[in-house]
Amino acid sequence: MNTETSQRTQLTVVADLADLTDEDLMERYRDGDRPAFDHLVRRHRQRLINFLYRMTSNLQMAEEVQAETWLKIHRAASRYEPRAKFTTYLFTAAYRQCLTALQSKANKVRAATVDVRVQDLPEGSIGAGTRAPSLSPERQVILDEQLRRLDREIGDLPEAHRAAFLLYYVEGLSCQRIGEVLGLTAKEIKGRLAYARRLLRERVVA
Amino acid sequence: MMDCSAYKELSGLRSEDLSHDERDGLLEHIDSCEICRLEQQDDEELLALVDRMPSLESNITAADVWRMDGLDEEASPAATPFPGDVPPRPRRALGTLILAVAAAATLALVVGPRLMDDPEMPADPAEDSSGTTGQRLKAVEAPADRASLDLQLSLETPGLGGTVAIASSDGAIVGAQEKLLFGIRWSGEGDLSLVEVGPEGRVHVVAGAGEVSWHVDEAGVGRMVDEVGGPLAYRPDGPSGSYTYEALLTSPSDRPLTAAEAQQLLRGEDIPEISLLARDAFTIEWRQDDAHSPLP
Repeated sequence: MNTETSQRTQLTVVADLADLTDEDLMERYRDGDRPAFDHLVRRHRQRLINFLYRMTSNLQMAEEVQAETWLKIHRAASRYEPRAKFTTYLFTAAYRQCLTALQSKANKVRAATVDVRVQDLPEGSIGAGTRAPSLSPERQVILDEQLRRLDREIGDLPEAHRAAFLLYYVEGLSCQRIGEVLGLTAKEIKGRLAYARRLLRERVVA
Repeated sequence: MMDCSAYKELSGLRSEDLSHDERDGLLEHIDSCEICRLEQQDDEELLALVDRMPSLESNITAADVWRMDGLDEEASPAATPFPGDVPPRPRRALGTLILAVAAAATLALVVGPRLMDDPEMPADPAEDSSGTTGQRLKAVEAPADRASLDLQLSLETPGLGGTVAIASSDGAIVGAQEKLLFGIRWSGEGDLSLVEVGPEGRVHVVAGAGEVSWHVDEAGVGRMVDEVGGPLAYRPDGPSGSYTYEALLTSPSDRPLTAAEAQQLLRGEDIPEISLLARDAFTIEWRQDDAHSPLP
């Protein structure tokens, strides 16, 4: 055998997907790179399911909406252009899909799932972050109750306020980008955030 | 001086969403307003709770999405070419192609868009989707949870002012002046190896887990390089004839894959502790005495 180099060969990762931006991954998928899309789904599925679960208060619906969201992104991949952050694109698609799902199932969903929140989630579905090992049992009970109340009160916020609150305080999007997702101005987003904060402060903390 | 109403609207925002004046106004106000200071403490408590909200897990993968779209999950990507894969090229019609890709010095990871109409989603989801004509992928996909490999070949060939790399494919005719460049796309966890099967059936491990760590996980794209990091320009050193290059993804192992084991795996035989997770291959025609240069 003759390798111009008969010395040892190596594999160098020229494009470790983990190092690529969301926009790069979407462009790769648009150009036919299947693993790129899978990486993108895995990268965002947890934050998306959390957003959708708190938007819908229904795990099954959240999972369905998540799947529909990714399906739409997959179907639109050939026309993808990185004109905005991918997460803006993702949450816009998810929010729209969520509204559609909520509208179509509004009444029965709220009635059936009003109590299916933190305490009723499937075993193992809750990741790290819930427990605070340093807390006393009594304090943990109080914390759990506060979290349940917070979860319930977030679920009772008007949809746009709820989405704005979750996207800002949980997902870390800026007011500008949330405005793009919800179709509102940044100033309107700030107003909704202030309203949501006041309501939650009064009902959960005070 | 900022009033309480303005303060309440802005107080829970991150600095990136505030102007310089607003930040100054908030600090000034909180120094002088006890009520707002107390509310700010409540806000901080609220946001600390938000940080502690339980986090759900999701197991959705791209394979689920493709399956929803009716794509056949069982089909092997190796057996079903990407619609955009580079077709076998006529060996003697390379002149313009070489010029077109003269700048390409690495493997061309070229696959084309796979398209069919979908009216549902605009390229920008902020746009109205009504009346848009979209396209969607139609390639047969492998489930992402399974391992997959996509071996890619370029030829390093003499060009103007040096060598150029040309994306190539199965069936390529390789002359004496040319060398092979390998690229691999993978999905799944395991050890990657590249095996050569010569015209007389001789199996040779070109490179793989035995020499250096080629352990991979999840998904990625790589190219083979030599010790100094340059693209590995490989040339068969045997008689003219058909050479097949097999990329193998095997279960993680702490020992090298030998030529004999590779041969067994390729024959579909079981090997203790090593299982074949995915493979992809292409064949070239090596013409050792072909002094033809594609350039005029």
